[in-house]
Amino acid sequence: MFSYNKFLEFPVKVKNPNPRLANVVITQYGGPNGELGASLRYLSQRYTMPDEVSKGLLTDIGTEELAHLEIVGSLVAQLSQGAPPKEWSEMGSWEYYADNGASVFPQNSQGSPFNSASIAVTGDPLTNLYEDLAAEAATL
Amino acid sequence: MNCTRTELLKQIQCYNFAAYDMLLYLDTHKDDKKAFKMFQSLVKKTNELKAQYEEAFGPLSQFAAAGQDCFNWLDEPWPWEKEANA
Repeated sequence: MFSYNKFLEFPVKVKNPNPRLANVVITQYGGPNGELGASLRYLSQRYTMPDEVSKGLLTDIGTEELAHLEIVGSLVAQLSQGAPPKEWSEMGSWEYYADNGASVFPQNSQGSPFNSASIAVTGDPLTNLYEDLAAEAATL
Repeated sequence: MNCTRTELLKQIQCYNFAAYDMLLYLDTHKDDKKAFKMFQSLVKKTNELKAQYEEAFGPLSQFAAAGQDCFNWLDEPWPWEKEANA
């Protein structure tokens, strides 16, 4: 089971709200190489892993990815919060604002909602681990 | 010890981060006794700091709320808010 710690894994403090930047950063939340995909990739792959090391490792990494998801969510929330509607339109993010307001919606920076087609959960341990390596490399 | 809330929180975040990294290392190096000792010490320090924080500023986990004088789990700020990281 999961339980909650009432603090971020790493602090987030945005001085200047910037909805345009929020619309770019949001892909790290719900985009193809974002933290939602990362956590679901690890946590879903682990059910067919063959030994204790890979079962434990994928559980612990997947759990940490959920903490990363919260960090990025906080970043997007703070970038969005307090920005006046005028800024949403002038900075080119009004399409996002129309659907989601100043909330944090799992999507990529171009507006496609989160899609689990961007993760692979194959049932084959080695293929899973290669998928993990590729996904991690994409975020470096 | 006389720390502000955010100073103490930052320390918790540092030790918690280090402890979790040691956990991930140990997942693939479970016989590394030196690493296990370091893991133990980092977790001990993290728990001490959390207890210190909770006594002064409120619970950091749902069940830790049971150790408080009243049910203050809902007290703001929540972690994603700027005020929590000020």
